[in-house]
Amino acid sequence: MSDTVNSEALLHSFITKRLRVTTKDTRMFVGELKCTDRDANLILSRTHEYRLPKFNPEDVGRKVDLTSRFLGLVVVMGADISRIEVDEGSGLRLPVADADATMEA
Amino acid sequence: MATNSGGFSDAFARLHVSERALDGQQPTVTITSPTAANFRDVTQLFRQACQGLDVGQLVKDPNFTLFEAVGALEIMDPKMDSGLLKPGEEDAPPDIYQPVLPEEIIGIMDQLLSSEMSWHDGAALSQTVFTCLYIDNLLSPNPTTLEEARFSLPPSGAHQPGSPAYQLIHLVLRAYCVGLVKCCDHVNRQILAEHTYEEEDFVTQTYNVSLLEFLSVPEVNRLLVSAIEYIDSPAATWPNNIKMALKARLAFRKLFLTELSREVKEMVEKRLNWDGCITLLSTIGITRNLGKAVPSVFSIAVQRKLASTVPPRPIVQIPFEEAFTIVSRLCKDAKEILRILKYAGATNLITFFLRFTARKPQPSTYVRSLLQTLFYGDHKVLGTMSIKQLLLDDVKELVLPADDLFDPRNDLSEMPSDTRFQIRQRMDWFVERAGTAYITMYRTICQNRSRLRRNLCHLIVDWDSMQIECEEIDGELQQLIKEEPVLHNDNISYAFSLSSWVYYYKLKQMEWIIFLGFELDVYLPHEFAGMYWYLQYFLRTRLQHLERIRHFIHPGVAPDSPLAATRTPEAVASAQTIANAQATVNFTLLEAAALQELCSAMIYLYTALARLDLVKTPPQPYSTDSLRYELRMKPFLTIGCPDVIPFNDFKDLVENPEIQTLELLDLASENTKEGRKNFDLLSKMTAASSHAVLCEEGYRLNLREYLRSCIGAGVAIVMLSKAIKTDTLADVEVEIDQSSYHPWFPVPRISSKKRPPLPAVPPTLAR
Repeated sequence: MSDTVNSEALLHSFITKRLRVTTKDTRMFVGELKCTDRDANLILSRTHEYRLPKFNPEDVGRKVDLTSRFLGLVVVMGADISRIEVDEGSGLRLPVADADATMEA
Repeated sequence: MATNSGGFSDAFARLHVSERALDGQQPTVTITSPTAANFRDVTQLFRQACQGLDVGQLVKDPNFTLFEAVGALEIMDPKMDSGLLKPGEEDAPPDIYQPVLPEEIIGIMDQLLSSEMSWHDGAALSQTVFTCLYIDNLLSPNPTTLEEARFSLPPSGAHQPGSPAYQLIHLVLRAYCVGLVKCCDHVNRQILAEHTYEEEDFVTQTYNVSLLEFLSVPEVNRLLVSAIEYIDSPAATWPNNIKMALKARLAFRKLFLTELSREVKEMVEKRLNWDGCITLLSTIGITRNLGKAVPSVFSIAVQRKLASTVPPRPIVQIPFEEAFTIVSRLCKDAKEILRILKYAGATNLITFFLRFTARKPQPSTYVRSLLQTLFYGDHKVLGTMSIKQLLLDDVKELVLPADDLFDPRNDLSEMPSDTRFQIRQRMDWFVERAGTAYITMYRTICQNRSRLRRNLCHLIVDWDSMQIECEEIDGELQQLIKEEPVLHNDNISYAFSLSSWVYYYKLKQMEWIIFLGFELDVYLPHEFAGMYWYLQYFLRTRLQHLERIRHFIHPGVAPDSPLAATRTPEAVASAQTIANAQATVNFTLLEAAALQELCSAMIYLYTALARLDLVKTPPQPYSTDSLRYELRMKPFLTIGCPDVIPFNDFKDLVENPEIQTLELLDLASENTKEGRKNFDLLSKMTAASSHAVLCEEGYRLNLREYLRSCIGAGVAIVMLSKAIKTDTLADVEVEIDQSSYHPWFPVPRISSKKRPPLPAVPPTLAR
C-alpha cells in the first residue's frame, strides 16, 4: 500500500513538468506531462516534435539545428518510449498554483 | 489556484493567440533545440514508479480532464501520427524531379490547378496545394521578399543558368507558383472575413506557413508578366502551341489574382467582371492535352513538416476536368453575384439570394462568402446603402404602412413631446431591431443548405418575439398618427403594418424549414403526408395573412391628424407606389396559393399510398409516431402563432379516415389541376412583376421544376386510381423520385411490376 502511495507521489511530482520523451523511432517530443498510468503511457500537452536531421559528411563539426514542429496535445504509448527525461528547469520556475495543485492531490 | 484555474484549455487558447501574433512576423519552424543540460534522464525511475500503480489507476493534473484527452494525437499510430516513418522509409527531403520539357511544366501547372480546386472544394491545404514539392520548396525557407520567394534546387547539368530549361523552372514555374499561392492567400482572407463553417465548408488552416501575405498584387503580376515576356522572346525556342498554353496559364493566374484581390469598394464602383478569366479558361481547356503530368512532384511526406494538431490526411487531387468545372463555375458565379449591385428593390434582392444559393451544386464557399461581403461589407448594404434603406424598402414594397412613419420631417424634430419626435423614436427602434434580423436572414441564406435549415430554426424564435414587440409599437404608432380603423372580417381593426411584415417573413422562414427538410432528405417517406400537411397549414396561414395585408395596404389617417399640416408632400405614397404594393401582394398570394395546392395534392397522394401499404412505415423499435412528431415540431413548439397541433388531431387531419381512398385521389387530382393552373399563370408573368429581375433564368427554372412535380404527381394519381379501379394494386410498385423533380416536391413513381417503369416527366413537358 505504502509503495503505491510513494509511486503516486513521485509521479505526481512530474505532473505539469516539461518532459522530453524519446520514441523508438528516434524522434523526441517535448511537452508538459498531463497524465500517466501503469504502462507509462503519457499525455503531453503543448508538445513539439523534434526530428534528427540527416547529417551530411560536410556537416561534421558544425552545429545543426533540430527541425521541430508544433503538435499540441499528444499521447505516447509506454511501449514506444525508449527514454524519458525531465526538464530540471533553467531558472524557469513552475507557477505556484501548479505546485499547490500537486500538493493537494 | 487562481493563476491556473482555466486549466489546459485556457493554456491552449493562449497558445493559439501567441501563434497568431507570430503569423504576422516571421513564422519559424526551426526552433533551437532544447539544451541537453537541463534534462535529467528519469526513464528507470519513472517506469518503476508506474509499476507501483494499480491497473486502471491514473496520475493526472487535476485540471486535465480525460474528455480533453480524446483530442490528443497518438504518436506512433500510422493513422494519427503524420511524422511516423514507414519501415525502411528515409527521413530526408525527397529530391525534386527537375523537368526539362515545357510540356511537363504545363502538366505541373494543371496538377496544381487541380490541387487548388480540391482546396476550394473542401480539402485542407495540407492535402492539396502544400503537397506539391515545388510549393514546399518555395515556402519552406519562409521568404519575406519576392526576391527570396524562389526555388532552391540542386544544380543540374540540364539546367545551366540562363538556359531555357532553367528559365522554365526558375522563371515560368516560379511565377506560376507565386501567383497561385497569392491567390490562395486572397481566397483565405475572403473566407475568414465572413461567416462560413470551418472544416465543413472550407479549411482555412495554413499550418503556420506564410501564403506570401507580404507580397503586393502588382509585384506578383509583374513577375507573371516577365514570365510571359520571356516566353514571347526569341530565347524561348518552343513550338507556338506550347507557348500559347504556357502564356494562357500565366495570364489566367494574373487575371484571377487581380479579381480575387479586389476590394468591395472597387467592385461597386467599377462594376468589373470576370470575362477575362472565363476567356482564358477556355484556352486552358483547349491546350489541356499538351501537358504531361509529373505525379512525382507531389508527396504526402510534406505533411511531416507541417505544424498540425490533426491526424495526417490523404492527398486529394481531383481530376483536371472536375477542377476545370469548379474553377469555371467559380468565375461565372462570381461574375453573376455582381448583379446584385444593380439594386432593384428589396424583394428582387431576396429572390436572387434564394435562387442563387438553391442551385445544385451549391455555389462554392468562396462565392457564398463573397456574396456576403458584397451584400454587407464595410457596414454598408451593396456598398452604398444603409440597412435602414433596404429594410424600409422591403416593408414598403409589401405592406406599405402610413406615410407619416417615413416623413423626413420626423428626423428634424428634437422636442420629446412632439408627435414627430415620438414617431421617429419608434421607427428608429424598429430599424435597429428588425434591421439586424433582416440582414442576418440574407446572410443565413448564404450558408450551406444544412446549416441554413438549422439556423432558420433559431431565427424564427427571434422573429416570433420581434413580432410581439412590433405589435406594441404598431399600437403606439397608430395612436400617434391617428390611423383610421377599417372593417375587416366583421371586425374594426388597424393595419399593424410593421408586425404584419414581421409575421409574413416569420411564416416564410417556417415554410423554408420544412421545405429544406425535403430537400435534405430529413424525412422518411411515411412522414411525407404529415410534413406536407404542415406546409399547407403554414401556407394557408400566410394566405390569410396576405389577404389581411392587402386589405390594409397604405392605411388611411384621420383628416384632423395634427401631422396633416406639416406633412412633406414628397413623403406621400404615389398611386403607383400603392399599386405596386398591391401587385406585390397579389403576386405573393398567387405563388403561395400554387404551393398550397401542390402541398395539398401531396398530402392526399401520400396518405393514399400509406393506406394502400405502398409507402411503408419502417420498424421503429425505439420510437413511436408521436415521439417522431414531437421531434419534427421541436423548432415550432415555442412559436406563438401559428401554434403546433396536438398529435392526435394532427393524425386525424392528415389521414382523413372518413374519406374513401378513391375520393382522396380525386381531391388530389383537383389540387394538382389548380396548382398547375396557378403555376402556369406565374410563368406567364414578367420578371419584374415576379420580383425576379436579377435572376430570371433561375426563377423560371424553379417554376418549371414546380410544374414538373405537379405533372408528375398528376400522373401518379391517375396510375394509382386506375390500379384501384382495375384491382391490379398487387402489381403496383412505388419508387420515390427525389432527383427528377423539384427538390421540395419528390414525386412517387408508380409502375407495374409487369411493365417497364415509365420514365420521369421529361423537362420539355413541363414547359
